[in-house]
Amino acid sequence: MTDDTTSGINPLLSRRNFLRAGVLGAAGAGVALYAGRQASKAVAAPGFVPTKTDEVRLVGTDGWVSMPDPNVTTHMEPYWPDSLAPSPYNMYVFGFRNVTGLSEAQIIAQRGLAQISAPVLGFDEGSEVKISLTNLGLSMRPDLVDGHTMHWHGFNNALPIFDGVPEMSASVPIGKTMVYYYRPHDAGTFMYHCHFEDVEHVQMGMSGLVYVRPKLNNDKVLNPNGYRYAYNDVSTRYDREFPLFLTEIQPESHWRDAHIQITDWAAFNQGFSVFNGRAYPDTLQGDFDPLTTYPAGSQGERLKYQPKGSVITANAGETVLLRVASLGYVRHTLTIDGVPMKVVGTDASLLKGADGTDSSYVTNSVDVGPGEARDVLFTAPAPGTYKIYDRNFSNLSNQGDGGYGGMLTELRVSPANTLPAQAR
Amino acid sequence: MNLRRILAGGLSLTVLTGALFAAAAAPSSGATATPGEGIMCEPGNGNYVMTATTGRMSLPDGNTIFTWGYHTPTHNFQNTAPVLCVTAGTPVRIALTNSLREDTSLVFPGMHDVKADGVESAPLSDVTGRVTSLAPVAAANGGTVTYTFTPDKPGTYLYESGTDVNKQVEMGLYGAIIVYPAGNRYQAYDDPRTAYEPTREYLHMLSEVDPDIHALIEQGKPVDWSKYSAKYFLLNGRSAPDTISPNDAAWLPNQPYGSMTRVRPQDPNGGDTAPALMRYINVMGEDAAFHPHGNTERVIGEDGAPLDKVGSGDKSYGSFLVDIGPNRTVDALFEWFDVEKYDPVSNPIPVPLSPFQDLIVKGTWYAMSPYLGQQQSLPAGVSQFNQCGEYYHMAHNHNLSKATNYGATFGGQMTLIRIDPLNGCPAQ
Repeated sequence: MTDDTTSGINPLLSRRNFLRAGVLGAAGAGVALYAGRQASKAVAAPGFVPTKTDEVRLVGTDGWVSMPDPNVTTHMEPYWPDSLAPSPYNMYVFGFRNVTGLSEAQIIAQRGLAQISAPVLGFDEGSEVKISLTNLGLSMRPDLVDGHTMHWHGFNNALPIFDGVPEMSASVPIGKTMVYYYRPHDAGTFMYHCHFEDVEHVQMGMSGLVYVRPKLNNDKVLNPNGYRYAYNDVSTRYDREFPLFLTEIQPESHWRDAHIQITDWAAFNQGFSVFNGRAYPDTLQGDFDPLTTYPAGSQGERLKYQPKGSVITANAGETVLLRVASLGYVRHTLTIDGVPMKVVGTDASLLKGADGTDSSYVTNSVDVGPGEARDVLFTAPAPGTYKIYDRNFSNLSNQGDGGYGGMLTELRVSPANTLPAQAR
Repeated sequence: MNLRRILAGGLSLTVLTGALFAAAAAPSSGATATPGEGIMCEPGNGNYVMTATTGRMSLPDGNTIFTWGYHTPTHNFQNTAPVLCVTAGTPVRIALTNSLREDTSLVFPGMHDVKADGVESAPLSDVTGRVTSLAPVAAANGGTVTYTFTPDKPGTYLYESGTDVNKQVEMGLYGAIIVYPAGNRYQAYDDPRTAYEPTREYLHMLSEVDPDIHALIEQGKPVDWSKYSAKYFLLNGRSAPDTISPNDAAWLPNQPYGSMTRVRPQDPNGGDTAPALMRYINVMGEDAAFHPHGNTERVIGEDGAPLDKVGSGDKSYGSFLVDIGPNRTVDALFEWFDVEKYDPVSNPIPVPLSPFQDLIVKGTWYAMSPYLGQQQSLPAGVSQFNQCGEYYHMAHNHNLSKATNYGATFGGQMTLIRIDPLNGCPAQ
């Protein structure tokens, strides 16, 4: 593993990236002002030397997950709970799994064990990324020969072959593997999803987050203290980061896929609104591991294929980065009771104009719609527990029940200097 | 797995082949716009004549739908309304005749001092004071009204019916007005930093259709609007893949406006040297979440107001998902850089590429080579529309239920972004 100082990248180049909006703004004239903001990315090639290489192995397959089922009044007969679901699960999904490091035999054994949301992927700006995607097929639907693809949603200056749209390139058939190659030159919060028959595969669960961390984080000259930033801009420093990935799940469509029925994908039949693949109160459970065997009847057994919890933890006074993104159908308005939030980036773009104008904004309501991403900073308030939720209250119930569910989780603040630093 | 999708694919094949032939006739020079692409302005130079009338539109899955639109000097019937390209400071005159069986009118949000038959265009109301129309009408069965105004701010605008708006807009009575800065045809606004590549100006107007409601109106039956459920999703009045057919395609006689975007890599040596200008209009009642693949766009204006104004700083912003609110407009710049400059000999892609037998190659637009400007031979059984190794990216509504034709994927509010090689596509 190398970093900028050992890979021969001139610190001045990093400095220019860091200041690129201002530098290019001063140097440019006419149209170059707008073009130049993108052109800064073009300096990388063809002499590009990656700072490191990240290799990830993903599989695409189907499986079963468990949505909150407090009592029979929330049931949506016959669609949910699904009568075909093995206990303790109740809904059919497609999904990705991260199988990096497993043997081929172990990888094949993951067929039928999909997870939602997709594994969070994190890379460094300036590195190179090799993602091998294997299609394990659909255990419940041997009649289908659907391909899978990797679409890095928002990747700049994408090549069609690695963009994952089947009609513009190729997709991965059952039993085969394709290597997707990326050189991320831009920091921010992105998404990825399968683009094969997109309306179906995305609804079924094949979607998740990609972080790209800025060069500034590893720049020993400009960042001697090793602080963490969302972008190459000192105004975006944070202490802890958390994913908040928003989707809406339509159980009827999931049931139809499991039961070999046709869905009208132009219809929108909301059922569960979820953070990181889970609806409240499951959002409050911790992280689990799909490869671990948990005791029968435990939360771990039930939620291991929705492995990511959504509780935000911090020490009072720390700066928290929420990486918010949505691949649902409707807009959401996130709030944290009593905590001002500062939106510093939208769609993996720093909110700063070519002339340096700061367009970031402080709000109590972060608006995020289908396909959008927001980088949100806030200062952890006094120790205590604060609710984080969608202010569109129709997304706060599970299957239309009267109680609380859906897009609701908690910020839990500890006294200063209590929690250890977040692992990178 | 979708049967409808397969059927739709088969039906649209002839359409796509037609598009290829039309495109193949394009000149190879990058200096001129490819005929049939980009914004097609209604002739008239500020002086327009149109008659509201009924007709039919066709969808890629074979459906034909009763709809409303306009008869113009250039089209017997068109859905949507003609694209009016006007200049800031120059008066505009629109003579509307109504052949519908109910009153109709036009409103021009964003325009000032609009006059109808020479007097202020103001909402009409009945004796109780209840509004009956947002503008003076052309009466049913042959009435006329002439609207005049002088646009003052460059940008993108929507004009639409102001009478029984919910119904008449659903039926197709809406269109685009593009206001150019006086003396600067190839800038979005007066600011020279909003200059765009002169041949690369595109309109994406998003709307939707509930076929059941159109049928009820055709049959003269009452409509329960609470049952509204759109099944077809339009870009410039067409659904994908018809969206990539050229303007005025002969096989879409009532839907004249295509929306395929074409650029070259940003490069001083033969490529584009300024961004493409994308003009978005949302005619729907909810946000449009339009996602251009290939690169982040830069939103430079909303509702005819630039975001980078002298004195207030540059508040333009990057967006890989262009959000257009209901009845709002957005102007954005799109460009694509060949950042890695991969070459099969001197700079190959650093990972092995799977052989075709290990991939699903639907083929259609892929050149079978990942390198810009390169083509490889086709696998057996694959038909293909790639001309010269150009790249194609998708651009679509990311509310994916609206990137369908009645639920069939690869349809609806979707089009393609075509990236030509630096030296263009030689004529074939």
